[in-house]
Amino acid sequence: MTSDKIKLPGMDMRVMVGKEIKTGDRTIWPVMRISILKTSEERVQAIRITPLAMLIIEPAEQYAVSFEGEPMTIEAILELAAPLKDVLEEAREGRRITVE
Amino acid sequence: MQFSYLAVFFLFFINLFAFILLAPFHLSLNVGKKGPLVEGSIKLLWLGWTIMKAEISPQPADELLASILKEEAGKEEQAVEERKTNGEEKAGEKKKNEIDNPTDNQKAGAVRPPSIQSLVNAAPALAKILRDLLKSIHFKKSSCRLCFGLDDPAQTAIISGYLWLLASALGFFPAKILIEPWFEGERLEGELVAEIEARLLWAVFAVINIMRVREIRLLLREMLRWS
Repeated sequence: MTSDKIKLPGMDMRVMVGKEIKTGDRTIWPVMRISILKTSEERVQAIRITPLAMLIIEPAEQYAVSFEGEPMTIEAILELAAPLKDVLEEAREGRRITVE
Repeated sequence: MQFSYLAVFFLFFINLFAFILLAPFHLSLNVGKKGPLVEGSIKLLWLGWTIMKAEISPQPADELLASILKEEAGKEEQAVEERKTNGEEKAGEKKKNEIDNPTDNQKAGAVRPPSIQSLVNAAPALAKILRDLLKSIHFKKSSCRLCFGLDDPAQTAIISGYLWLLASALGFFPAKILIEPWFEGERLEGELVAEIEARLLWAVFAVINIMRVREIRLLLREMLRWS
């Protein structure tokens, strides 16, 4: 009867791409999961950030590394974080040599 | 007869002074930024009379900042010009004075900023006056909402953690503080609403009390000499 009145706190989870880290010619794009615990009044109570993977772009190649210890393909990281598609395309565009 | 008139006159002034000190001032502040627009109002009331009223009309934040920066740049230019003209005049005067009175420079060298020791000695008294002044201020209504986001979600989370820490550390402050992190990109929005009531009586008492402390008097003397 009273269950209608009680609101349980909600959990909002999303996967996001962090700010790129540049070290020399290498660019690292971190991918993280942000978990937000909200109160019944929709106020943020806690945030947890879990690193999931990273996309590494080097002048010669691009590859993904998973923090779970398993091999990760570029397709897998793109599936996880779609905004990285643009990043990857831009990197590939930059590498492409046009022959006239 | 003359004495009684004088007494009535003094009594009237004492009553008026007491009335001014006891009647509370009301300050209402409402400032907000939504999207690129900044708007708000500040109002100071005393006994129902509006002493000061300022409205911040909806204006894009970048335009507002540009106008402020323009004003400041104008002031700086003016100050530089004044300094130039004053400098030339003063240089002439200084040369004259040096010739007339060679000991002036030695005296000027003795002017120093207040020593750290004086500041440390006066710190407890300064903390007391701050406490007393805060006591004289009564927050009738206060709330603060801040929604912010940086270009990195991890940094946004860390900064919001620091802000929450600060807000809980200021737990004695009665404002309702709401900090919302925004992870989707750079953003700064928020609003500040406050209604403050203050009586001058306690502030005047606090100032009189503080002036009785020797360390404060010494610090003030040093500061006045420095300025």
